[in-house]
Amino acid sequence: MSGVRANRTAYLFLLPFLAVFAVTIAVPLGYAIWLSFFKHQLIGGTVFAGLDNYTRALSDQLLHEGVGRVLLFLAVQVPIMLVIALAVALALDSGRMGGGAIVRIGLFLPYAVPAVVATLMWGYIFGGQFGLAAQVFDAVGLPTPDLLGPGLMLASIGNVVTWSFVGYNMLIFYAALRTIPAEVYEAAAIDGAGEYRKAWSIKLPALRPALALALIFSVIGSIQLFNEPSVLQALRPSVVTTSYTPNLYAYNLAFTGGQTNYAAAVAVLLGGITVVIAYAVQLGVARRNRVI
Amino acid sequence: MITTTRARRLTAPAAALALLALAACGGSSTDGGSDGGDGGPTGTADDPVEITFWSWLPDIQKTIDLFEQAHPEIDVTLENVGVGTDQYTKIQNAADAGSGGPDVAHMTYDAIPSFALTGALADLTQYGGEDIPDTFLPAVVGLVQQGDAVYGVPQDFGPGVMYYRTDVFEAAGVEVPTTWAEYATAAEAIKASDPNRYITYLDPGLADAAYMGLWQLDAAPWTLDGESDLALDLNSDRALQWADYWDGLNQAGLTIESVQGSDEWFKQLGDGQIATWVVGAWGLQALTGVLPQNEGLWRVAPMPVWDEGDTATSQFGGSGTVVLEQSEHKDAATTFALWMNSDPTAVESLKNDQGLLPTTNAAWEDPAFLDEEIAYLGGQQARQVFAESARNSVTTWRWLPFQPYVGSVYKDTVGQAISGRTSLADGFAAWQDRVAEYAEQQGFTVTTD
Repeated sequence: MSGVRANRTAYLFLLPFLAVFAVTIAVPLGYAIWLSFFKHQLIGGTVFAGLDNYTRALSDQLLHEGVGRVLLFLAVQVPIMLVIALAVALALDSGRMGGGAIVRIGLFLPYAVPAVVATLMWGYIFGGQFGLAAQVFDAVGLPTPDLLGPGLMLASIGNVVTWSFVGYNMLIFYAALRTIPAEVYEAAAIDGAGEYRKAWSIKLPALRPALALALIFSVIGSIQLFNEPSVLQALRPSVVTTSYTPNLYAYNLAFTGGQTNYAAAVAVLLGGITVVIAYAVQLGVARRNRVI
Repeated sequence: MITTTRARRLTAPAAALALLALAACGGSSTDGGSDGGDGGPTGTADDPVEITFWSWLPDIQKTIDLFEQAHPEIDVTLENVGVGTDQYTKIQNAADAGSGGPDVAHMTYDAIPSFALTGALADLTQYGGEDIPDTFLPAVVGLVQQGDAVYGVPQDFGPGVMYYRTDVFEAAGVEVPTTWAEYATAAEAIKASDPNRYITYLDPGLADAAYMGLWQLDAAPWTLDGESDLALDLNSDRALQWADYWDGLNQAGLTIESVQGSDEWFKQLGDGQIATWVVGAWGLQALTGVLPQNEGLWRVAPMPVWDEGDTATSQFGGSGTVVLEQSEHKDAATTFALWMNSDPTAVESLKNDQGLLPTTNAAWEDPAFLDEEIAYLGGQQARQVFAESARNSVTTWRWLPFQPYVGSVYKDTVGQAISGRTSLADGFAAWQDRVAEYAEQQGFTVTTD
């Protein structure tokens, strides 16, 4: 009897959280899933479509190309960004770099610049006959590569994203490094370990949870790539097509094509892919932890 | 975005235009909450009818103030809920919900059919607008009319003309072209005079350029029979005539790829790197606003024609004023929409405060308006050229109920051919495929040739 009453009290305390969770997370998610089972037509109105939207998505060439593109982006850009962030965090933490605070703030600053503004700025640098990049190549007498052309657009977007997020990831790593107790280093020093040895045997293992976190954020960010290609589309419409990334595709389906239901199915599928990849990353990191 | 910001700074027609490509598709409404033929109460000066008007035109309040002086029985509240797509999405939501929309709204011509099809717009002939087809230019009436129903009052339009740089043509020693064949010859002469100069630009994202070309050729790339039978013909001889012509210039390197409205594009216009701009008459507003240093260098000429002796022209851009079916004051709303676009006081205000080209027959018969010398164009009586184009505009052009989608996939198809300098005809074939696929998904019965 008293156990039941205690449970009731517990639910009472849980209620505020559950209410907010339902309104802000569960309901919108459920609504998107609900929408994805219908089909709306200009001629014919709305009908129940079952899994039609999903089967269509699974055989949608445009969606496949978009997913392939963000996965390539994920495979190349994320390691580069995290390695740079890691290197800087280790350098800062070693205490041997001059002007640590300035470097820290300087690197973090791009994260505070809204993605749209950052992309516009880089667009000016990369773009056309008058951009900074063109002037630099001119000055050294080289032909300017088309940085926003079909061949290099994805790399240029990677450049913008790396610039924006290196500081953010660096800060996660740096914070994790600061939590390592000084005694561990003292013990290592007594055992005769140098800075590199400390970095390899103490800092990197300690960083593993932070690395997993940064990796999962980056996976989500890559799959949801939207702002940068959307802004650059205004500069190069034929390079950044309406289905360049899955998110851009879903956006165009919903707001230009009026195909909200299909866009919802695409969004649900994308969410699923993201969860699977993020979970795989988490598992991978956890398993390695166990081995050690 | 650069283009949008730039366009907003220019002029209303230009802004409307920059947004044409982005304009939201209506298309998810079931019914607009129709309430039959009741046009609502008529107010009095003491107890005015209150109506709401959604518009993104800057300074339109000045015109509204004039209306309220002339019609004290109607009280207009202006709301700016966003430009183009943003506003259309809100209207769509209101139509779906059956309430919450304005009484009157500003809308680009290409968006009107989709809202009309889904029943969101009122047929103005039921509420005092039966004279619209006689009051306004035939060139624009077709854009708001479906059968006998009229779904909007024309506000401004973009009769097709060609702006050109006199200095570039003089340097190249070539006459200003009147036919597209002469235009191609001039393209070579200009390129020969300076390899960094081009007769014009090709924008891989600007479906409007293709619309303008197909419209002039009366190519009828899509024909809607009844509500749901759609015939697509983007591979017709006329469509291919346009595609092959620009293919030739593009592959010979006589045009430059550039995005209309971008900073770089304005720079290219200002430097004389782009010698002509074939566009709606509103282009003058953009030139005057962004390139004041070019004053005196530009002139306007009629849009080139395909064969000597031809006169057919087309249009680029423009918008009308619509009344929502769910409005409870459709009579008052129609009175306002009509007055704003046809009363001489209002037309004058739209012209001076908004830089809009009037759409009434009366305005285009007024010598003071037609003969005004435009300083930016070296004192040319430019409106004579506009008027001629307006008179000769092909009147059979119709927009599809899902035009924004059609425009959005232009860059995925024809745009690829422009940038890759591959066959534009193949690009048109791909365009037709995408449009056909979409139309079938939307429940249309599609036939293609």
